[in-house]
Amino acid sequence: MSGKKKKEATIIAGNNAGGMTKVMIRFRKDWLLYLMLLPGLLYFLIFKYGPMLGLITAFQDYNAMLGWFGSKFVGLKHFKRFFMDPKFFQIFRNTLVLAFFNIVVYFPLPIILALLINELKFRKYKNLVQSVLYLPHFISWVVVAGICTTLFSAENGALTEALGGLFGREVRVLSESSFFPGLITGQVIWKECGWGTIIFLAALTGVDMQLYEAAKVDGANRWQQMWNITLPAIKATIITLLILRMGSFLNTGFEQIFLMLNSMNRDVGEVFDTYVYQTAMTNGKISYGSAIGLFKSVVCLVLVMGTNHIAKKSGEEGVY
Amino acid sequence: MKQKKIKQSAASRVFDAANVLLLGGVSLICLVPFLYVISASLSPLSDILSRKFFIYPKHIDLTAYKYLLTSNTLLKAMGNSVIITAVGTFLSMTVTVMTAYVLSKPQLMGRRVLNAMVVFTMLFSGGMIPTYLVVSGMKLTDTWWSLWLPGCVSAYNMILIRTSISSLPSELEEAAVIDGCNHFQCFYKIVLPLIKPTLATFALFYAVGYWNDYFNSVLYINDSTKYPIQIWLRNIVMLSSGGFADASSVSDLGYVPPQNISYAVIVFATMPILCMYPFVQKFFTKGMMVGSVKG
Repeated sequence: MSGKKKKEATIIAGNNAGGMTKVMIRFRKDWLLYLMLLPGLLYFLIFKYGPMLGLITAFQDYNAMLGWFGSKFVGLKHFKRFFMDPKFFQIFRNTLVLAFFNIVVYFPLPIILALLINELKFRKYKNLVQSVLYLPHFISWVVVAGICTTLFSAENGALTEALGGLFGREVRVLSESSFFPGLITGQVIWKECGWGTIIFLAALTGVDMQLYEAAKVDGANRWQQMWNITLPAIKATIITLLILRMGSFLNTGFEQIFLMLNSMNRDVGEVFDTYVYQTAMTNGKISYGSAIGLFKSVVCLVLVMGTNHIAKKSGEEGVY
Repeated sequence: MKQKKIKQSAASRVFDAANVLLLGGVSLICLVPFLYVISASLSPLSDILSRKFFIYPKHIDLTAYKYLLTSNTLLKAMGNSVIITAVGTFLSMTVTVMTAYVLSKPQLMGRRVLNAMVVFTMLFSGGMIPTYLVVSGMKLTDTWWSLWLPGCVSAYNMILIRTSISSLPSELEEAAVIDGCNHFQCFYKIVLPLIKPTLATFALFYAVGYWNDYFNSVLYINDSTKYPIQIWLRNIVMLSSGGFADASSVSDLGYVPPQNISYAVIVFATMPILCMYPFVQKFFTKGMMVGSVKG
């Protein structure tokens, strides 16, 4: 122990001039730490930053034979083509409609649900409700889509007849375009609403119970307690989630929509990600698909930075 | 505690009762689809066609399950999914927790840059196609590595685990270092045992992610002998509801599968999660708490 310290001291004394050697000393002392970092670092470099460099594809006429280094550089050709594509407006509109439903209809629900769960008095009942509500989150989209397909199937769906009676005509939820946003949002609500409460409930465990006691002494009723104590306690969490949600504004649950798309509802269901897949993987236009993907990623980045900026300006804590 | 409940207004009691009922109703909405599918999978086909069941079957008929258990492709797909999930979860947890541990160390050179690098990947990504090109460039397509590697570390999970490691008192590790532990021993013997609830939570998240993943397999796996259960399920559901699907991957059934079979496959594909859920569920709130505390 003391010998090791002495050795280090002599090294430092011998080389106290260079900054480089200080780095070397620190590296030698913690080399195992850097070794442990290696897998994670490689992962982020190869699979996260690698594709970012690969975005060069969007400015090339990518040819799989020639690769990134041999393909011809064509500048903004694919972007210009995308903005002229009649599909562009359609995709943009579909995405906006779904994102609008997501933020206006879905986003407030977990907050309300969390406030209601928070008001439950019996501990056991509360735990039971929470366990049941979290469950759908763990079910795959394939299963959710499968259940929906069988329930609303035109041939023998259990809910097809019920809806038919309600609307007075045969309703085809899976293929009629007007039902698509409702179907998608409904699935999101069923699957994620309960799970969405967990972060708010976690934030609420940190609230000082004395605040409620004091409010009661002051004569606040339960509504006032909720409005003035509980809600402000989760305000920061709500804003953080809203910022993140804005960032994923154009990331309309891809796998979910991919599973619910069919030839009948494609005109209202096609969104950025599904169109990228369709263009690049099905039709083989790799560069065009990358360009659409890049456009979407940039808009997302701008949105999240913008929302974060506004949140910070209005005195809230941002995400970063 | 008792004397605090002196007075409760009538309105307050009405609210409590209504709240209990409302949340009970919401819980039912979450459960009914499960009960419906399970009872459908146990009903004879004639009951399904005439809809003589709802959340419990009128007659029990195990034909669907008998068919499935003799189907080699189903058992193969289940086996594939088990391997994909087990290996994937192990890989993801190892790399994520190790990276989180290192990035929580104040003496790490370039720590701020590295953390910023991780956060940036949450805000901006190369997207589907460039990622596909990287994966196929590494010749990983049609191997399970293409399911394990591209999503190996979730930046979000890594940051939450890092926060929970940072919240441990540093004296513990200092003491271990004095006793002669190196960084890896500290990590393995001191840190890991202390964050067990967090580890259980995130291992479950990764496992569920691998088990439920559908799109990565669509993108990277073409060889039908390597399909996971979710793709198999998708094909069965599409075939039995009259849609188009790759029939060859489920072909050893030899005919268009009737509806009760697709219900039974849904049960198969969901069962492992439902079985695991009660054991890990109690850790959620604890494991997620670290997320609400900003670090």
